[in-house]
Amino acid sequence: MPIDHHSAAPIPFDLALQTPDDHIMLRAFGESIALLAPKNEFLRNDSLWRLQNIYHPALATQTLAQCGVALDIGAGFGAFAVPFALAYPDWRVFCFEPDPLAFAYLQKNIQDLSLTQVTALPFAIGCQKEDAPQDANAVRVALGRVMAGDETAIDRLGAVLPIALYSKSKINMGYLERGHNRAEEFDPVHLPTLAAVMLDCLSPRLLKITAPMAESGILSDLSDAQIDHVIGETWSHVPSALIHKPAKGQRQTWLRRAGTDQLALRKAAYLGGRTSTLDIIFAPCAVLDDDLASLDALLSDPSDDFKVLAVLDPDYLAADDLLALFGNDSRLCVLQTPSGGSAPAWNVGRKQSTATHIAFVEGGSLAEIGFFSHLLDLARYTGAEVVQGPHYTFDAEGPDQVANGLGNMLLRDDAAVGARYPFSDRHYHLCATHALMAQDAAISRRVYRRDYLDSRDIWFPDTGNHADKLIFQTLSLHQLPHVAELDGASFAQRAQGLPPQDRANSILESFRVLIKRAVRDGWNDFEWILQSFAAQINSITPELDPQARTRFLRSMAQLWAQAGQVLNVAAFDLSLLNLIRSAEFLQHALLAQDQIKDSDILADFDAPLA
Amino acid sequence: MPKITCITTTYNEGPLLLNAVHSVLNQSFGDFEYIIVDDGSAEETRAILNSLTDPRLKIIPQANAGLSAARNVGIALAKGDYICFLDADDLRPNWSFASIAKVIDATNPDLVLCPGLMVDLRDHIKDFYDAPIFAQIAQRLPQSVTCADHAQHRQICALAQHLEPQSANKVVRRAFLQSADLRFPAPYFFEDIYFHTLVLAKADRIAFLQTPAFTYFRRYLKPQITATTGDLRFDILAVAKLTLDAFARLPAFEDLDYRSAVLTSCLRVIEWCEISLNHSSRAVFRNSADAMLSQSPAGFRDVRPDDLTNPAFALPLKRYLDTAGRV
Repeated sequence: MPIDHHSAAPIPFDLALQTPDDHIMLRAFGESIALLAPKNEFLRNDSLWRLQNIYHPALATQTLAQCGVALDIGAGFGAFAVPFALAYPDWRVFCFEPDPLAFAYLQKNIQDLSLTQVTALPFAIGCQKEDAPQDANAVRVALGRVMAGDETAIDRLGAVLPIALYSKSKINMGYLERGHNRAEEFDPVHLPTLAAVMLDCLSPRLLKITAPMAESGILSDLSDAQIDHVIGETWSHVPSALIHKPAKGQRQTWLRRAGTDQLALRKAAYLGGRTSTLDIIFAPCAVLDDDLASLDALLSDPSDDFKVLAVLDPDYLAADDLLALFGNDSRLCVLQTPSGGSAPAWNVGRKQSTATHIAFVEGGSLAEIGFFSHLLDLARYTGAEVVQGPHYTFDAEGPDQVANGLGNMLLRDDAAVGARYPFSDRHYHLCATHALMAQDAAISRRVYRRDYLDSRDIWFPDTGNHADKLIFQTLSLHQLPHVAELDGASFAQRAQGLPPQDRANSILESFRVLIKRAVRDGWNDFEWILQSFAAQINSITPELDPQARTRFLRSMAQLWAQAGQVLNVAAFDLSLLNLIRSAEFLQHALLAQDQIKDSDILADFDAPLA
Repeated sequence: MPKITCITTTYNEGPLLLNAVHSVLNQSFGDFEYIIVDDGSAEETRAILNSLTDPRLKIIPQANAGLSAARNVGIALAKGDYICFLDADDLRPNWSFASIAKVIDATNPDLVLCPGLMVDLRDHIKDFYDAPIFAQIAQRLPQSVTCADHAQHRQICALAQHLEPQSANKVVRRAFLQSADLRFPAPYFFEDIYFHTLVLAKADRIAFLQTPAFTYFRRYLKPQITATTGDLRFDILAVAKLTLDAFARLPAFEDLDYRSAVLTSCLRVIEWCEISLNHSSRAVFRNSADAMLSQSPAGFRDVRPDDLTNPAFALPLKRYLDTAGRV
């Protein structure tokens, strides 16, 4: 289709007669400059905000090579490209700006500052099928000439590009989105469009992107390019795998999601020698049908962003047999070790894991398809140490319930606080960790950052009972204010159904271990942990027979008093004891406090179990 | 002689060190030398250092002697007009040295203090902790430079005393360091408050940079000294004593605002170390801190009344006065 209006647009008349009002001051990348900018408050503020809040801090955290090629998609009047070119003079910069007015300002700014290494091209970047040029070779040749500094090739390039329909906002000057948005706010415009896949010809190492709704397509088309740095803002959900899957370039990334300061797709330069994926450590429950159903549910997710490390006792199931059952799915690895229960299996699997993120799943549980992929996505957008999905417990009919979509009937978690935020085609909300700690340990519905667990020395203690999960849950949550929970996919766990005496032992054991850790690691905030234990004591006490109840309450009270003496913090005051409804506990606690009040008790806490 | 010497000390940072190294070697400003003091690292880090060939880089190996001693070795070998520091797990934005050089050329200072950015544990990028203090200084000092003979100089120094005492925010004239005989207090950790206090108090001309010149990373990858719960934290008591005693010998000690700022900044670091310690050591630490503070120069007991009602200082200050009052 011939075109006549979009090749190097003529500079508007008023740009030739500049006034001080035509300029705005930019300060970024160590440069202070006055730039010509359209007299539109929204456009100016929007561009400055993005420069100060996205591009400048992002580049302060990334080390660029001495030279390279940068692509500025959606360059506007040059608020990023111009200071970037001044700060990084050995980088070649290609700016793409399809809006004629913004393009004219961009060109004038480049001319005024004699930025010979910056080339402005008046094209949109597209990623749809119809954006493929009829003559790809002609485009390649023209781009090569542009790269070699032949400005006349820009016109020739424009002449061979397809024209696509966009919607231009009448309210937010400069906002342009692909397709026909019929809302009153938008006017349709036709613009020459260069297919993103052709940009690889320019050998880009840095990509700055402002391309509303086209971000995923552009990044997908550039998946083979050797890009080391990606910065910008996104108006649509970019699947995190587009950044995190192995690529030629490093892809250090800071892509902030428009409209929220909670979400930014990010990737650091150094991942501690780990691969940016998820390892799901699977500990079997030794009921073959249940284990196979659990693994089947995990491996039904088509994503290749995770692996399942099944830790099996060779006497239970041979590795080859299991692999054959799942068609030698390359995402399934088997580690063979003598059975010792879930906690040792999870620890063994974790030691073999090389991923940045990790999950611990037990046989008999059922993840809805995509459950863990979505959690990994959320983890990469929030940087959160722990993310989780909703869960419920089921009895023998559980698998059918899952198949029938019980997940849709799930209520919001009691621990939920605040608003729901959109994320991809779902929502997420924040759960208060103190409320989560008061609930049963729900380890398997969570994805953890491996570096977080390692640096805080959080492992499953091998207590041989339910306490290992309670301890892990408290250790992994108590220093975090919130955990992000993703709606829309759920995780089903078999009900534990532990006898009251076993539960009491677990509570006592986990309290003992946690207080010991508190002493060693210098914890200062105990209030929520104590409240959590108070809730557990209140819950279990009525279920115990009188003798067991007395033993349990006395042991807990002794530990409580010892901890208060050693830790010497207000949280152990008697006022908190009032949270515990049992008068017997209070009696024991007062007695214990009195017995040890003058002693220099040290933090041993190896009291006998109830 | 190069304009700037940048000093990094390393102890087993491994590949993480490359972030810092590349950020320095890729600065847009080229007139610098880069000294890395390897403070007894194991093989992995040594191999990385051996692979670096840039002619601007000098690698100085030594047996493990601690951060302060390693930095002092770097200072002794520096040839640049100005010296700055970069921790082995942080980085300098590409424009850092260029911005610093511009300020040096324009103001000829003994000391440049630079704001920074911080990448938090979730990789969120934020202003560094002390950005509000830099903003207050910028408001009071539009020209961004203060000299000893300015009427406001000590007020500005008192304010700057509350900047984060870390080393990356400082660029110091080498000749000034030599004439003031300033070093880090080897063999102690938590050394920064000493260097910060004395370099600030002794500098005649101080410039403040407007643009972030370092990026500090909080990480889960590697335990940082500032995250230890162990007995290393007792070092702060010796460092605080050295700081208070040394400051008391300076003319600036006469100034109530400045003297109070030095005392409260030391008390805050001591308090932070105490609440970060394991519980088994806290009582001993508290007793030791009280003993050390009771021996501090008497002039410090005359405190600024406003500080006693400032929520940031009130508690440690009252405790200090109780302790000192008992002597």
